[in-house]
Amino acid sequence: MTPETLEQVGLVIGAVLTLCIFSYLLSDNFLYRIAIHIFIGAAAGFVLLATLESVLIPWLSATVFSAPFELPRLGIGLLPFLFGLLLVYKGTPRLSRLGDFGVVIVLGVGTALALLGAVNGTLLPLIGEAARAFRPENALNGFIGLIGTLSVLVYFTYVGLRRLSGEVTQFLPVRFVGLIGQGFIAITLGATYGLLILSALTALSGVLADRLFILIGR
Amino acid sequence: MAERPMFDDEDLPEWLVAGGITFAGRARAAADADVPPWARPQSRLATLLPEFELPADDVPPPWSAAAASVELPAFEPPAESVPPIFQAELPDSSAVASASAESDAFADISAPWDDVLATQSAPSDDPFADLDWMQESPAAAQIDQPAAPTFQTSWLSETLLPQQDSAAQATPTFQTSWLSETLLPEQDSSAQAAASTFQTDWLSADSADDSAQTATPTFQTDWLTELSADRLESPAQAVSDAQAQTAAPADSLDWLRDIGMESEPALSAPSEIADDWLSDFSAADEIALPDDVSDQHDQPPTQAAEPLPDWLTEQPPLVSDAAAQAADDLPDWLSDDVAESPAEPSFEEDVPEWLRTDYPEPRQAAPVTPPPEPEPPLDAELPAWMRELAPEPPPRAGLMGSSTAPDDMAWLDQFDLQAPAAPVPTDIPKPNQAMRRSAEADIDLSDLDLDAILSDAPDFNLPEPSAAPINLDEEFDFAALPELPPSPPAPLPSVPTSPSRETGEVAVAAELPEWLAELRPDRKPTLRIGDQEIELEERPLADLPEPMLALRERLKQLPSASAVEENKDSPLSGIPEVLQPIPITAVPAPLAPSSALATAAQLAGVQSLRKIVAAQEAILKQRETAEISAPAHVKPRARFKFDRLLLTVFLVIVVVLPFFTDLATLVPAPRLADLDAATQARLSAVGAALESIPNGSVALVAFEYTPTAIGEMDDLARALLRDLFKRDIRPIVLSTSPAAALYAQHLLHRLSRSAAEMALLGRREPLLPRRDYVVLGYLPGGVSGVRALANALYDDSLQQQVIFGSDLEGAPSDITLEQLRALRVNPTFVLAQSQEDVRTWVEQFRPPPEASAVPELRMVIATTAAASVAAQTYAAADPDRVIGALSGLRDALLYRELRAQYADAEAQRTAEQRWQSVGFAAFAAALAMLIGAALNMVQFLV
Repeated sequence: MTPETLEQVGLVIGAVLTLCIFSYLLSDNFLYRIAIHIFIGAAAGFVLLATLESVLIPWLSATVFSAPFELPRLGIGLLPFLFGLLLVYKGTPRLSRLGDFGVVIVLGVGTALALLGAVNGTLLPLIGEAARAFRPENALNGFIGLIGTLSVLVYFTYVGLRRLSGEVTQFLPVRFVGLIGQGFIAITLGATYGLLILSALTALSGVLADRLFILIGR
Repeated sequence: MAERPMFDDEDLPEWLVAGGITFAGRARAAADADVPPWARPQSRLATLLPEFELPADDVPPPWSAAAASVELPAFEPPAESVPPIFQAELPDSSAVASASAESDAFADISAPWDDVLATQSAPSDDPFADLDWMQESPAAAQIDQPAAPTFQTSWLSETLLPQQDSAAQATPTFQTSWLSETLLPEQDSSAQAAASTFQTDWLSADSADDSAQTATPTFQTDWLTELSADRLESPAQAVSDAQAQTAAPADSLDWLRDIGMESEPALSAPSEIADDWLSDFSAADEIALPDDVSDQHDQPPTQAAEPLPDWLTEQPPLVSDAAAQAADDLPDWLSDDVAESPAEPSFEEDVPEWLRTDYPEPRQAAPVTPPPEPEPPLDAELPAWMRELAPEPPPRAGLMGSSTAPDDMAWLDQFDLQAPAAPVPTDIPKPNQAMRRSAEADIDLSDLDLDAILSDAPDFNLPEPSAAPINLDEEFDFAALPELPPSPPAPLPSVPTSPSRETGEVAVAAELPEWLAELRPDRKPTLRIGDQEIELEERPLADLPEPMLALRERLKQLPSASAVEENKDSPLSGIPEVLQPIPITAVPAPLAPSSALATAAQLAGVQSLRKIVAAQEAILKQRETAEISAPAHVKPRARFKFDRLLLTVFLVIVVVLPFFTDLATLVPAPRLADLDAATQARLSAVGAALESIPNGSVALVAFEYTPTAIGEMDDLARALLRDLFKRDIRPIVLSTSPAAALYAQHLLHRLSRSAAEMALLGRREPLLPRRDYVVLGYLPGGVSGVRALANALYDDSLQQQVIFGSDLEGAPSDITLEQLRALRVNPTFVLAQSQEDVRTWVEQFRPPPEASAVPELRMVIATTAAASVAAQTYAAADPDRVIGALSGLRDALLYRELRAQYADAEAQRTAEQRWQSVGFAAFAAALAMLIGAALNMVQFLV
């Protein structure tokens, strides 16, 4: 079995599995389920191996099993395992309180990084770009962008007045501006959906073309 | 505009304003306290009577002693004591027959009065010049008119007069009211005045005190008596006497005083006035004023013989028209009572002192009834030492029912309402028709002595009242009333209930009509509960609502409860005639909701819920039966979806067709020359950034797309990798996704094994991992991993070792520090599948904060069509950092054209066929969506 042979077998198996996935268009059938099960199993196994070989082993080699032995490096090396162990306790009702610390670390660090990146990398640059958009030659686009931004922000306002009947109603200006923002959101979502369809069709075309070329020998 | 006061005098009646009772008058009360009413600014009515002038202030009242010598014509009492309003027909006397007009009644009265006025140089203006009934005086009526004038006096008439000058002195006159005449208490004979005049109850109360107040008469006689013919004969004498008398009260009306002075002689004759004028209704006897009636007029009434009820003092006396009143208005039982009343106190009790002198002629001689005993002083029974300590009696209520009468009506306060009224004369002489009021204008009213006139007035010869006077302060004894005529038997129920205090039932006399029985309850219904007895106030039947009346009738028709053996063990034992409990058998209520408890909507909801529950139960039963009967392995077959099969086949054909024919060429392939300047600049910037990387250097390539997006991202990935390999740039590939990292390794392996690719790259040997390219390991943490990667590029030994130390297979990557420094400068190529990946790399792939002096990490973003919007936004927002954004198959074809990466025309044609396939498939998909939307809309509308 040469690599080229294995590659050819792999291509054929891939084509078959692709068709099995396509069979879902007809209905839920066993071919589709087989292909899905294979994909999920293979992905899970590969992720496990990749994590083990590309993350854990190098980490341990660099910290715990590094030479010369250094206690700080050892502590740093074991700290992630400690957090992971605490997360395991999250599954036990009696010791779930211990897992809260691990959850705090994960969520706290991730939230902080995401928040910092969102402010520095998204909000500030986009605000500056929106301000620069009000150029004489591009005033209309800038104005539309400003209206759309403000109306969308108002649409997501959750402040209202609770009446005696229990119904919560927003103020009329808020409702009117929110309606405009709702229109902008609808246009954006529609455009995004169209792009998703285009991406899907592109993917379908590429896959079919490759498989077809293989079948027709091109 | 001046603000309109809240209380405007314009809203007041004229008679009230004429009497000085105005809102403005009250405001002037403090200033005009000492000014008599006639001296105050004239009211509106004064303008109507410009000719009227008030008499002089120094003219004493006619009832004063100075006027005693005034000979007034004898007043002829009217034929009947009943005012004309209550008379069905006039008395036999001709004076009553002509009572159709008040002018006729007072024609005789005014005649002598005119003479008096003429001799007395009375003011020329005559406020009553236009009133015919004031033309005659009682004396004149006595001459040729019957003795029963049909007029009725009223205290209101005196308020019609305008205010008089302060110089003129006039004593206010007063007119009796039929109402007051009915409430005449018994008076003491000593308190009666000599003049025969009418005196009301409250007027008589004042007259009883006149004996003590000779100098300050508070009331003048009735103008009626003054207008009598006899009295008019001595108006001059009365006037002269009046002048000698003490000053009349400042608050007296002039014209009334003059009338009194004129009629004073007429009152000299003794006359008896029935205490109850009603007693004279049935009898045609003329009421004669008692002899001492006139005497009463000498003294203004100060003390009331009996206290006057509040309701009487508050009620305004009626202004009756003698012509309009009829005797038939009086109920028979009242007229009979009046006729059967025993001896009454003298008429003097009802007629004020000043009024007695006004009658021109004495009425028919009637037994003089002594006036009622004046009310003994409050401290009569108290010892002397207690009298001193006793508080002063409260101020007597004035005419208006208030002890603090306004100054405008102060003269009325002097009139004691509590004093017993003089008996009503049985007959009032008809005023003399011949008298004219034109002479009144010539009479000087200031010289009249009303007291003298009134004192000399003849006494009325009034018959005794037929009924006892009514004392309002005492509870009226309805039992003393005469028996009513038998009424026809009413259709009462056959179950009369006898009144019983124990049972508390209301008695309904079967012999009397129900409406009458309700009017004369012999006792109040009482409710007896154990030892408690509660008296209930019974409402008359007329006040009961109709449902109550109907219920009452039904209760009467109910048969009496059968005698039930009393249960001695019950808590109600011992209570007589207690209602026995009705035996009730408990019956379970129906389960169905009644319409009275639920609305139609609620019932419909209940029915719907029942149906749902029943349907669910049926389904469960069917399932149970089906599971039991059907084998377990048999599963229901799914319905074959033909539409989905058709659509799938259609899409496959559309996608594959462009590869086999050119007929499906709908959209031409993108050409670099056909692009706009912005797009060309964007693509050129990417090429320039790649060209800026030195040959043999390294470049970081982030594979962030999974095998699901290889159809769209492989072309871009291959284009960028081809350029990197063509310039001997070693790509260092990493990914935050394990699957993406694995696919990257597979792609590079395939690329290195393709001869065409190698020929295109100009290489003779294949690409080797860790030499020509490095696929680093999986970067965990997503956002944290990218941030750690950026930190690892800048002086982070541990992170550098962890991230860049080994590849995906775990082998050492052999990346040096120089290469790491080069990665800081060279742009990073990010191949992202979603917007999330684009945002993560743009936000996190930044130098650490402590390395602010280093330039920013640049990147080239290649995304799918779905993430192109975010990539282009970031590229437009930060063009120095995000060099360009390539998206989808179109940019891949353009970049390949720009970088001349087509090996031959066939390759380009194949690539364009891909473009046509995607375009044709997109067109077909859009067409299918539109057709489906149209079909659904039609189905919805149908």
